Parts: sequence; structure tokens; C-alpha cells
Amino acid sequence: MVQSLPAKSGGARFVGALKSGVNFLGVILLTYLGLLAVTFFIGRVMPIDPVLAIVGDRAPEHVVQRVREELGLNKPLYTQFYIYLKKIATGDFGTSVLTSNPVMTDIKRTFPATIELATLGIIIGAGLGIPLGVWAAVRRGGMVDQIVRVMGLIGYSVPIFWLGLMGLVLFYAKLGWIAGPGRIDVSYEYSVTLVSGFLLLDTARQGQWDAFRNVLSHLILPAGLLGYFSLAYISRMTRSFMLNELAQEYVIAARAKGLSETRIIWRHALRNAMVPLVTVVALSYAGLLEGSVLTETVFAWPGLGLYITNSLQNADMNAVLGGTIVVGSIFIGLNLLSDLLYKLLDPRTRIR
Amino acid sequence: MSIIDRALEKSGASIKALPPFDESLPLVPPQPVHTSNAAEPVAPEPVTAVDAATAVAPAAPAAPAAPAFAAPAADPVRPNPPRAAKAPAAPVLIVDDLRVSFPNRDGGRTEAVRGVSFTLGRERLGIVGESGSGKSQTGRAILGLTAPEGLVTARRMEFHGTDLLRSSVKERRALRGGRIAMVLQDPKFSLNPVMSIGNQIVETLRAHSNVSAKQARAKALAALEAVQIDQPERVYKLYPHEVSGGMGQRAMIAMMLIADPELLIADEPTSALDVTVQLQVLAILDRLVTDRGMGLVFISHDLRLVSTFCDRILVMYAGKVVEEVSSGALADAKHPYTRGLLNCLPKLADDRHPLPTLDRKPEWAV
Amino acid sequence: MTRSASSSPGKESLHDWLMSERPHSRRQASLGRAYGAWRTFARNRLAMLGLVIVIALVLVAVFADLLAPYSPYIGDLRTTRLLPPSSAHWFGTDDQGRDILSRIIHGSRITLYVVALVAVLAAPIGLIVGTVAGYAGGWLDAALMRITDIFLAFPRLILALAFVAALGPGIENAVIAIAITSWPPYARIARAETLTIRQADYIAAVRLIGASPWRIVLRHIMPLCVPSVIVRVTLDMAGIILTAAGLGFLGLGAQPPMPEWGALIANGRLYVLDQWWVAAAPGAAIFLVSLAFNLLGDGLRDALDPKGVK
Repeated sequence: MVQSLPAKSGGARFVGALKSGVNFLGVILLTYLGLLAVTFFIGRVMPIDPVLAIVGDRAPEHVVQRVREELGLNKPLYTQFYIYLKKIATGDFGTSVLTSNPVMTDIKRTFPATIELATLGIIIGAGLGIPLGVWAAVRRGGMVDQIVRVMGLIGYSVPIFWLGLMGLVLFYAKLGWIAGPGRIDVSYEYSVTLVSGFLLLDTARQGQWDAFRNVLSHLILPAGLLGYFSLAYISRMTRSFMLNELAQEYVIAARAKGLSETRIIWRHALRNAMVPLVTVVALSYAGLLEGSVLTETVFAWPGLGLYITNSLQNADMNAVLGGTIVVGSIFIGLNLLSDLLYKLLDPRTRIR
Repeated sequence: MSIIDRALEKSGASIKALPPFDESLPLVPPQPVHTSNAAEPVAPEPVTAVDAATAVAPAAPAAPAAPAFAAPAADPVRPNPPRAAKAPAAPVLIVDDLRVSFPNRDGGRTEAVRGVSFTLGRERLGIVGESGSGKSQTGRAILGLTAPEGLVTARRMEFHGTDLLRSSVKERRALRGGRIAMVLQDPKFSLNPVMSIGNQIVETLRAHSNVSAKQARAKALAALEAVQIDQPERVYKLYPHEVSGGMGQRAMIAMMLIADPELLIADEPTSALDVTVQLQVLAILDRLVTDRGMGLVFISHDLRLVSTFCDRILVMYAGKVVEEVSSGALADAKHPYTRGLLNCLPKLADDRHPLPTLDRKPEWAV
Repeated sequence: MTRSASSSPGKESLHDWLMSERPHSRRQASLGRAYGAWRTFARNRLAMLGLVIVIALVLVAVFADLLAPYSPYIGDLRTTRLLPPSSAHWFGTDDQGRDILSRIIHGSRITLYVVALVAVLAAPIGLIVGTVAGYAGGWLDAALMRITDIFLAFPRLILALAFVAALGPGIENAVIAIAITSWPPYARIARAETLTIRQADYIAAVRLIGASPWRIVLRHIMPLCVPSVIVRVTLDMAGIILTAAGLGFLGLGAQPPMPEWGALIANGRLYVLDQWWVAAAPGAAIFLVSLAFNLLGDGLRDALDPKGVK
């Protein structure tokens, strides 16, 4: 009996994997280079006087001169770009006009707050969104299906900052159920030592349960808001993917085997739907990070988004660009990661 | 009388052509299924297995259904043609006036299956028809796999005495895989792409019997061996996209037969395979069905294949059975559609110009 | 051939003429197809609702001067400051005594301006890049697609932020910033369609006649990609409106005293805890218009997509 064996030998497969890996790295590098090129263009080429954009219009003359030297503005463009790249590579994003700190320090300080919020948001979004989407697909046309579609429509149409504002009015001003803007009440602010930067973890680890509850009360609305947007997107995509999978032949075959419907939904259809779904979750997380610029403004949440907008309003170019690079890098990273995850999870394209 | 009855009466045929009756063989009394309609008694024919065996051998060269490739000594598809049925066959499956309809775009319903009736013993029944004739939907309706928007009605649908129409969802699910199995067409699509082959086979077993993981794995490996896969341990770990079509189909057969069902519905099991692989897979199927004494419903569009493989043939057109004939008597088929199909089968030796085509008459679809 | 049940002979003949299976001219065929798509679209009530709202938006923007009860720029600080909604001021007044309803009505012009401009800028860029890449193939395709992918991976809002930061706030800068990050999806769609179309026999025929590649791309391939791109643009509109509103909220879009909806919300933010209405109505307007575009886009996609799987 003629059997079929995989055509490639072990060595050929390794080379294939290597090629894909190199290709992927090339894509990553090129994309990051593109981002840096764009920010360079925005920061150095577009403004009429880039130095003024960086140091502000009240800086003394010798500072202006020094910065002009540093940037090498008298040198040709590609040299400037090269200098720029070198600085970014070492993490030198320049100094902030507003805080007089190196931008990197500011970023490191504000970053955890954003991550804390976005992570909670995605946990809500995926944790609720995936089951809801599965339910909507399985009971197609039913109540949950309609709810998912309506929630999706609203999620795609409503401005997140406005919804946050209305939420604050309702739950904070009118009902008093939650705490207001900010991460933690001023009364608790100095009793907590920031270790990881994640207030929930820090207060819990230090056993300060009052502070923990307070932090939670501050977190719940913004995280819920982000969670809602993430949920709207994820549940809609889950529903779509599940509907796709449930129409496949292998589901009919699984039914013909006599498997229970529950098993078919979760271990057959969802497992297959997970492949594109993971990328959706990664992209949603990226979207939450991007939207932090708006939500943090509304909730006075001292994260990277607020830092960027404050710097924007104060024409602090270095800070804006630094923040843009960081958020942009994570965004790009998540995009590329989702591509990679897709390839890894689908056994048909896996490099084994 | 309906139009079709009148048309056929004119041509001197009747709807169900009865096979030739051989006095020397043990009899099974015909089981009348329609009591109201006096015209068509249906007789289950396990005895015609013998006719089929003789028809397969090129001793009947005139039969146009005789496969051109059949070797005189051993038929590669049916090396072990069964002898007469050993015991009086209680019908395994009774289907009476099965109808399957689906909602269509204009708000009404379209009937995909329009009153199909047959009885099946421990024999092989072939259902032949073109795309859209309703043959696949018949198979799925028996298993209860019709899409949720479809409506399945029948006067009777019984499997070994169990009323399929009135069974609960749980009961039907227990039947599926455990007592009635189905093999689908294309293993590329009908095997779960993210589960290994071995795991999928084990899954069937564990859904129907309480075995430990170790025992299940051993049985799965044995099942893979039974379908003539040489390295079962290796294939056990592979994913469906990593094996060829023929191997995938064999794995699917193993997967569906592992719980020892009594009836197998094969829905175009070889249509997605190359011709040479087709014969191999069919031989495996043949041996398994014979060894286990299973009933088989073989759904296909390939009339010649079905005639060599099955004992009885149902020809379907537009949702109805237009002819029921034993495969030995296929040459004497009466219905114009069947004759048309037979006529269209390519003959290597013949020189026919122009090539015959099917001239569809609207009264066939009534 | 479909038969219309209408009694008036004039209507019957137009419907039949459009749905005829043997069109006599190219115009009849294309009109017939458009009519068929329209009928599918019209059957979707939500999509019709979206269309109605979008048309209403256009009408409100055009006739803003007539519809607004008060001036959007002038308010009386003494008597009409921060009034709650009433029969005189349906949405109340803001901190400068201006009627919010009038401001929203005039703000619709800005919304429409942004939407139209971004569509007019981004869609052609995407179409050209996509069709050229798809038709040319080879290194040009690879290079263009690399660039597209790079831009696709950029965060739209953040980059628009940085862009406006460099150029200075203003509605035109906001539009350019959004357009620059919006074209990649259209390029992808156009390229996918081009790859399918270019195998067709009639393209080979046109090439045999001696048409230059530019002519082929412009006159034969691009028109066929337009429907998918239009659907995608409509679906994107909601996101574009939200991004523009976000920029306005951060003070980067239209500058005061222009009543851009996002800026209105920012304005109301300072007083939202007590005078919530100042921020409520503009946000509701944004929501309504985005929703309308989403519904419209969904309906278009269902009508134009032959597979039509919901």
C-alpha cells in the first residue's frame, strides 16, 4: 500500500523556517524604521524651526545654540536621521520642556498606569466577549445575538471620551457609586509605595485594603469603559468566526460521531476560531492603548496618554514624539505579534 | 394517475422494476410498506447479492454496467462477494415517505427530498443521483444531521425498531457514531484541522464507551491498522493536512467505524480521491463492511461504481426515487432517466458520434 | 423576467426595463444592476435608516443658517449662560451663553467637511496604490505593499496627534493627518480585487489591442474596484468621524469659535459634573451620525456582496 510521507527532509524544513524567520525580522525592522522615519519627519522636517519646537520659545540663547548643535541641523538630512536613530536606540528621547526630565524618565513613570488600565480592559473584553460571541453564534437570531450586534454597533459608533464623561456624570456625580477622576484619592496617595507601578498589585501586596478598595473604585469606570469597547469588537468578531466554523464540514462530521453539542462548540469550533481570534484580541489591546490618549484625559489618569496630551498642549515636542514612538512601537509590535501568532497557531501554516 | 405514471405506462415500464426471481434461493417475504397505494410493493432483496456477484464477473459481458477494469479472476473492488444472507434479515432501516424541505429566498419552502422510501437489511444499498437530487440530504436526514432550518418528515423512519422520528435528541446522538455511522466526502474538510488524527479517533470511541485513555489509544491504533495504514503510531500524531487524501479518508473510516456501528452511510466516500486511490479505499470499505456484517448505504453520483459495489440501487432524481433495481439487473432498468445515465457511461470500445447526453423530461421531476 | 404587480403602466415598464434579462445597451445593463442592488439595499430597514440620517446630515449642513434658531457664535453672558434644556433652548446653553442646538447644527458642516475631504483624499490614493501594485506585480508590488503594511500598522490617532502637533492645530491639518493614516485598507482591497480581475480575458484582449498599462489600470481595472472601496470607505466613515472628534476634543481640530462637535464636548467637560447637558448633546450627535454611517456601510456591503453571508 502506497503511503504518503512529508516531502521535505528535516534539513529543508529548517531552511524554510529560517527563511520565514529572517523575512519576519526584516518586516519588523522595516516597520519600526518607518515609524521612526515618520516621527523624524514630523519632529525635524515639518516644523519651521525644529529647535524652537523642542526647547520652547522662552529658552535662553545658549540653550538654543546647544540644541542646534546636538541635532546637527546644519548637517545633511540623512546624517540628522542617523543621529536621531542612534539616540532613539539608546533610549534618549530628549528632554521635556515641561518637566525638565529626560523624556524617558517621564515615560517610565507614566507607563504602568496605562498598562494597568488597558490590561484590565482587555481582560473584561476578552473574558466576557468571547463567551458572548460564542453564545450569539450558537443561538443565532436569539436574544444574545441581537444584544451582541447592538452592542457592537454602539461600540463602533459612540465616542469613547463622551461615554466616559457621561459615565462620570451618572455614576460619580449623580449616583456617587464610584470615585472620581484620578487613580487614587489624595488621602491615600502617600501611604502607598509604588513598587511595580500597578496600584492594584502594590496596595494588595502591602496589605492596604482600604487603599486597594479606593484604587478599585477609581479603576472600575475607566476599565469598564475600555472593557466595553473591547467587548463590542471581540464579541462581534467571535460571533463571525464561530458562524464560519460552525458551517464547516468537520462540525457535521463531529456530529455524525455522536459528540455532544457542547464539546463540538468548545473543543472543535472555538478551537479553530481561536486562530484568528487571538489576533483580534491583540489588535483590540493595541486599540485600547491608542485610545488611552482620550480616556486618560477624561479620567485624569496619570498615564502615558495624558502625558502625551499635556505635552501637546504645551508644545513640548520631544515629549510628544517620545510618547508617540513608545505607543506606536507597542502598537506595531502587537500588530506584528498578531500576524506571528496567527501563523503559529494554525497547524496548517505552522513551522514544525 | 399522475403524469409520470401515465408516461411510463405508455413506455411499458413501471416505477419499481422487480429483479428476476430465482426459485432456488431462500426467500424473504416482501414487506409491503405502502398499504394505501396499491401500485408499488417493495421487496427487500438480500438474495440479489448472488445476482450481483455473478453480474460482476465478466460472464455477463452484455451488461453495460460491467466495469471495464474488472479482472476475470479477482475483482479488485469486491474480492469477497458475499454469499446468500445467513439469517432472515430483519430490516436494519425502514424509511417511508421521507421528505426534507428548506426555506427558500421567496419565503416558501423547497423540498430537497420528496417522498423517498426504502428498506435496508444487512446489505448494500446504493443511492445514485446527480447534484441536487437529494441523495446527500436523504443520508443526513437518516442520521438527524439536517441543517436546523430544514424540516424532516416521514411516515416511518425506523432503525432496528427504534423510531427515529420520535426519539429524543439524546437518543439520536447516542445512535450516531455508535450504531449508525457516516463517512463524508473530503477528508480535507471533514477532519478537524487543529486536532491530531489519533485524538479525533479516540474522541469517537470515548463518546460511546467508557474506556481509559490508554485503552482508547490502543484501539485507535488498531483501527488505523485495520484500514491498512502502515505506521499507525506516526499517523496518530499527524494533523489532517499532513496526510494525503487517501490516507485521510482511511483515517476517517477508522474514526467512524471504531465504535462498531451496525449501519454505515457513506456519502460520496471516494469522490474526492484519485481513481487508483479510490479502488484501494473501496476495497478497505468492502472488507470492513463484510467482516462486521454492517448495512451500507452508499451514496454516489457514479453509477458504475455503485453497481459494482452494491447489491441494490436506488436512482434518485429531483428528490424522488425514480427507479429501484438490483445491480445485477441494471442493464434492464426501465426508467428513461436510468437508461439515459447508462447510455452516457463512456465505453472504450465504442465509436459513438455524437456522444449521447441526457435528455431531461420535465415529468421526471414531478 | 420579473413581473411587477403595480397597476400603473408607466411604472411597470420602467421596472421591467431595468430588470430585463436582455439589456439593449450598456447603460441599461449598468442601470439595471444598480437598480437590483438598490432593491436589495432598500429591503434592509436599518440600512435605510442610516441613509435617511446621512441625507438629513447633508441637508442640515446645507441649510444650517435657516435651521439654527440662534447664532452659534454670539451668546449673552448675562442672561443665557449655562441654561438647562428648555423649550427655548432645546439642548440648553453653554458657558458663553450660546445655544447648543444652533452650535450643533452649524457643527454638522464641519463634520461633513472632514468626512468628505478625508474620503476624497484617502480613497483615490488607496485605489491608485492598490491597483498599480496589483497590476504591476514584481518588485513594484512588493515595495508598495511593504509601504502599505507599514502605514497599516501605525496607530491612527497617535500619529494624527503628532502630525497636528508639528503643523499646528487646525481643521485642514487634522484632515490631512487622518487621511494619511486612512488609505492603507483601501489599497489592500483594491490590490486584492486587481489580482483577480487582471487574469480576466478581456484585460488580455485590451492589452492585445495595444492599450498602455496606465489606460488599462485607469479605465478598466479601477472602475471595478470602486464598489468595494466605496463600501469600505463608508464603513470607515464612523471611525474617521470619531477620530476627528477625538482630535477636536483634544483641541487639535477646528479652533474656537468654530463649533466642531468634539471641541463642544471638550468645552462642556469643564462643567460636565453639574451642567451635563453642555457635553451631552454634541456627543449624541456624533453617535447618531457614526451609527448612521455604520448602518449604511453594512447595508451597502450586504447589497453589493454577492455572497451575502450575514
